[in-house]
Amino acid sequence: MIRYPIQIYPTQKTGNLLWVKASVCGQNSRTAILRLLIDTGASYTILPLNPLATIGYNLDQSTRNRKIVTASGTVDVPFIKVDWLNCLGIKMDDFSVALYDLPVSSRIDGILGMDFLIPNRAIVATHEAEIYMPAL
Amino acid sequence: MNNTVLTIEQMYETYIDEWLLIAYTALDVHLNVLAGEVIAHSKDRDEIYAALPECKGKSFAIEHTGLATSDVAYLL
Repeated sequence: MIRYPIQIYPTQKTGNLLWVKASVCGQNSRTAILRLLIDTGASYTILPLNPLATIGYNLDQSTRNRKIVTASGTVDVPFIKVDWLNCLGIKMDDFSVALYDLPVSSRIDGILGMDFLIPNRAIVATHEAEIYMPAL
Repeated sequence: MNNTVLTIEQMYETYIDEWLLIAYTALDVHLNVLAGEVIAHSKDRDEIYAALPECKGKSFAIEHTGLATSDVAYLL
């Protein structure tokens, strides 16, 4: 049972998939707005390489690498910290993201993972295509 | 591309089922583009990523104006 006020955020629904827009801040306050799949099966938020490079991130200076298990195998993926990632009304400062390009045929740029959803107490209402977040 | 600012409705009418690279001028509270300059458009997302250097110094959004193809499913 939810015992606190919530704010409702609509998501985009395509078939069985829910996705949202997120903005990522780079150098000189430039931002990239990307389409992220909501994936409760993903441990981490994943962003594509080229857009982050365009807003000024040096992708060679990753803070760490981690092995990520995907449907097609295990890949070694670098992580970097972005100045902030803004999604669902929440701005996460110094947020660590995995750098990985999803296949071209996908209609999304990246993945919003559990590292964003859990700390922000997100509740995904799949049928309604909404996400409930604590009201700030 | 020229420097014409289009509304998102005009973009969807002009570029059907395409990826767009947009130097946006207006967003709504859900980060949806309301208006902007279309820097590049393509059926191929990689071509949009390849055009990203044209956005150096600008904030941008990547959009797709079509629906998901029925022959593609996701297992991530």
